[in-house]
Amino acid sequence: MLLNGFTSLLSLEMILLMFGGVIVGIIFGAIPGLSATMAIVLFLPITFNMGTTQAFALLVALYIGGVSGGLISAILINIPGSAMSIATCYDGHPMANSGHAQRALGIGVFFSFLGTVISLAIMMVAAPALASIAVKMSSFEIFSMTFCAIALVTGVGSKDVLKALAAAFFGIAFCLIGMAPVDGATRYIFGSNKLLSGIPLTSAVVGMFAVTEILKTVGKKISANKLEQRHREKIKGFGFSFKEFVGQIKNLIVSAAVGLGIGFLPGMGGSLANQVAYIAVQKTSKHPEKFGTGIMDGIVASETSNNASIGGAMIPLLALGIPGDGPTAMLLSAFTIHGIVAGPLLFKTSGPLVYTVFAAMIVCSIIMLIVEFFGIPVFAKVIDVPRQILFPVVLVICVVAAFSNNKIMFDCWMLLFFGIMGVVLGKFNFPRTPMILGLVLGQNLETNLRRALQLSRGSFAPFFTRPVSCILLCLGLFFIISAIVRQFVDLAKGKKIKENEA
Amino acid sequence: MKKIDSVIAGIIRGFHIYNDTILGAILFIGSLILFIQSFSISIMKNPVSSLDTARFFPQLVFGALMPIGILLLIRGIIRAKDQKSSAPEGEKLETGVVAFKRSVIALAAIAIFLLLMEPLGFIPAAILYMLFNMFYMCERAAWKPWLFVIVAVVVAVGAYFIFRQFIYVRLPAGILKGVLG
Repeated sequence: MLLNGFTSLLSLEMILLMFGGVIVGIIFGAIPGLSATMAIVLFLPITFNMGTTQAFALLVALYIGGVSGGLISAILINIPGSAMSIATCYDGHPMANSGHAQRALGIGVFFSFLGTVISLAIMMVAAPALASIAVKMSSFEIFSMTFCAIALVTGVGSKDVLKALAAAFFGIAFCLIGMAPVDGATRYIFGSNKLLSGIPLTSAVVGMFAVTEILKTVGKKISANKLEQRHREKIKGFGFSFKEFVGQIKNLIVSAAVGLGIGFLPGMGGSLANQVAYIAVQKTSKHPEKFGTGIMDGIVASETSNNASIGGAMIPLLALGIPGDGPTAMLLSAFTIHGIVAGPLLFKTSGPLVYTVFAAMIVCSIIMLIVEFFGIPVFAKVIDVPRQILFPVVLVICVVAAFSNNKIMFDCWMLLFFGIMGVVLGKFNFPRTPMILGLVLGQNLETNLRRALQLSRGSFAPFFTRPVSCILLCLGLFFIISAIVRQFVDLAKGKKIKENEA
Repeated sequence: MKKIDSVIAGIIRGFHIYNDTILGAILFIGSLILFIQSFSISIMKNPVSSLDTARFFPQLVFGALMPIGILLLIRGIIRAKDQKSSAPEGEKLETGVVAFKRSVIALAAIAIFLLLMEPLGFIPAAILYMLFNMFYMCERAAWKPWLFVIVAVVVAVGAYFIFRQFIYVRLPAGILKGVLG
């Protein structure tokens, strides 16, 4: 059936369509503020008049290109295309800054491809079985999982756990603005109806990275001497040796597993996967102290995991009709528009289409690899653009992207607000990552907590009597408590806490 | 040092020495206010349980932030003495003051750009913003006026039409409404 799927894609028209889709997806992914979801939303109406195969080939191309494209801006200008690529900044940008932009891009591109392919292979083999696990995950388990993930990033991944915890709760606090989940009660809108739908996430993420980065650069006048061209590196292939690749296999497996696992849980996806994978790889590394200085492992972790979340998110979509993230929610709409019911019967009623989608995802991954491989020298030229030209242009594009989300100026002001917040919090050595994670996952956390408490009629007991939930909650608590204890022991010993991280 | 510079220098040194103390105090006081405010959130008449209300989660979050704020405050007080010895001084402080002023000006430029975007229109506001920043960010010797003008115009006009044609986003036309349609 998979072979039939490939056969249905074998026409010049289809290949061109997927090439176009991947390129547009990469552009959307690379521009801070635009995303794979937005690309799919915009192209969804165009697919109305297309055949089912063409429509899904295009949408899948946009999805895969969009997720992968985020690495370009993260590596080159330290501004992630979306929350899915935040962890790519940690090592990708330092590597690019040290004159190895092409190598950083090459690593990112290749491991994005591997992440996608691994997750697709697992999806094809085990979608129904994995989906049955996903359906057994109730609000208790999803809450505990989200809590555990936040605890992992704040407790294990931060040097100053107290500030990281404060940052995570601070991020969650922003999710309290607007209408509450479940009952829609209005909270903390301070008289502004524009806050009813909550904080615009795009403006928050882009503001905290883009505006902060610009203000960091503007602090000192750029010298005329610095405007000379940087040393141009020439890389072979993707910029790393076979030996280096072999050394990354463990990281590849860990990151792909994290991406796949988190991707198939509703409401999480690549935004969380890249952070958790980064921490997981760092903590299992022989040289954790080198993370953040521009090492290959960090890029591998982030890019493998965010792309692996694609296959993960597709599992509940195809097998259960439940979208795992924003782009899959749009794909679910596409299924409905084309008269297909995603869910347990999909493999029986529309088997050929499902395998065509699988085939399209594999072909699009290969197209993504080709396009980005040949694009590396072109993308890398961005780093040669003088900063006094690059940053104002980037900010204007960020403002336009923020505006285009809801087409109101309020979102642009939010961008500025979060930019100022990023700068001020930076002065307090307040870590950005846990805050953004809290902001991304806060609503998911509250929704599942309230649903769980409704099911248990206000009792917390099921969180501890259900084995998976209990293990995850205990793990989360362990991460936080052990980190706090470690910190206070260090303080008592007089060790100075290393300030700030990412 | 001018009066404003000494105020900024004081802020920078204060931030360095009392970093945790200030942050802890802000977190504690802010959380306390929002925690108290949470009691005024309207709730459903017949919730499944007393915890199934829109108040519960905010109280949980701000309830957790308050002790974190206190811990930071205490740590800040303990560490203040150490921090004092490593506070920036001399040339480092002067560089910090300059960076602070330049950052405030850059932020003000973004705010003015956003303020002008609707009345003036995206294209003129973006061109003005980009030009200002391009000249402001680098030394005079690095100025390339023609290049800056060309880039600013091409980016502003290009972004306007690309977003309008392909992403169906109509950015504010402002004074160019008649020209752009």
